[in-house]
Amino acid sequence: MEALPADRRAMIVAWAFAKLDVFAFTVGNAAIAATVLLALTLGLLIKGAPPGVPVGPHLASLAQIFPGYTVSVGGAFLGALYASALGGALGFVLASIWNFAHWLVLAVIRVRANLATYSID
Amino acid sequence: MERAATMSDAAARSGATDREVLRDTLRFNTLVFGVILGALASITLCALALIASGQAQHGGLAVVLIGVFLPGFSADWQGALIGLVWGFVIGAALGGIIYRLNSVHVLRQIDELVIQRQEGDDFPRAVLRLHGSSLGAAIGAAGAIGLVATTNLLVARGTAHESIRARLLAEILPGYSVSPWGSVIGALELFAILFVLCYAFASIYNGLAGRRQRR
Repeated sequence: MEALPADRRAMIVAWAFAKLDVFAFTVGNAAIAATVLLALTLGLLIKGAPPGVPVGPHLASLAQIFPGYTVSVGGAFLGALYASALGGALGFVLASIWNFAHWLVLAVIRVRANLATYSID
Repeated sequence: MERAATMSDAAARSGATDREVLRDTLRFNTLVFGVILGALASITLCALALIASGQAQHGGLAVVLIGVFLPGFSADWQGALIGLVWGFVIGAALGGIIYRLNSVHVLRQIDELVIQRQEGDDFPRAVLRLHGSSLGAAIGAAGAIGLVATTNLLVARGTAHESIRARLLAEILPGYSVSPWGSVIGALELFAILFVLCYAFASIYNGLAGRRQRR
């Protein structure tokens, strides 16, 4: 197999240790989580239920964790807000831990390399 | 940083191939991503079981639903501990699979996956870009395989007809049923949904990250 040029190798290593943009990751997760719950709620509302039967009783039990959430148009938007907060928090945690793990490994490598430069002689 | 220099220099000296350099970096990141996702899933399942075990029984439905697929997981202390183990095993496996699948074409896409390398006297700092199609295919495949596996586990256990809660998925995935054929239809739909969501997520992330780096 052909050896890579040095800059390409450096690029692979840079990619391996690249940081996630925490802000962008948080916003992306928040947007997707909000969209999913909004779509689920509105989808159930459009689908509807026979007269006398509640719409989406299982999804409505999300009110246990999202106070005030109901399977209604208003509830869909309130739920989307809650979901975006939860999704955003999860994204923030994931991106932060990812960056921290890489920072930690690089810090250990740096300390080891520094120690290796000291000679007893 | 020294590691970068060491890796690159060592690779250059030994005539390491692209695949060898990539293999080492992938192995490290797979481990990191697996452990992160495992820990998160583990804590989430444990917390969910403990919250549901309280007097208010918040999230009880979610615990019952998840318990259908994870034997032993229930809303009590014992169930929480079992959830801790299940969460780590499944999260880590899922993390590893997703990362590996996501990185299948990384060598070809490497120039698109890194934003703004700041060359200085230290390690070249870079911000990761996400490849929407690869991420979508990876997470979509993991979700689809998971759905087929768990549904057919219920069928094999002979409890398919009792799985009323599993059938709820048909509300979101039309055509899905707790049967081998239903699981395939559901898996295809789930793959499509997850692919679109991941693609959208990657687009938002890349757009924002790119804009912030240009500033």
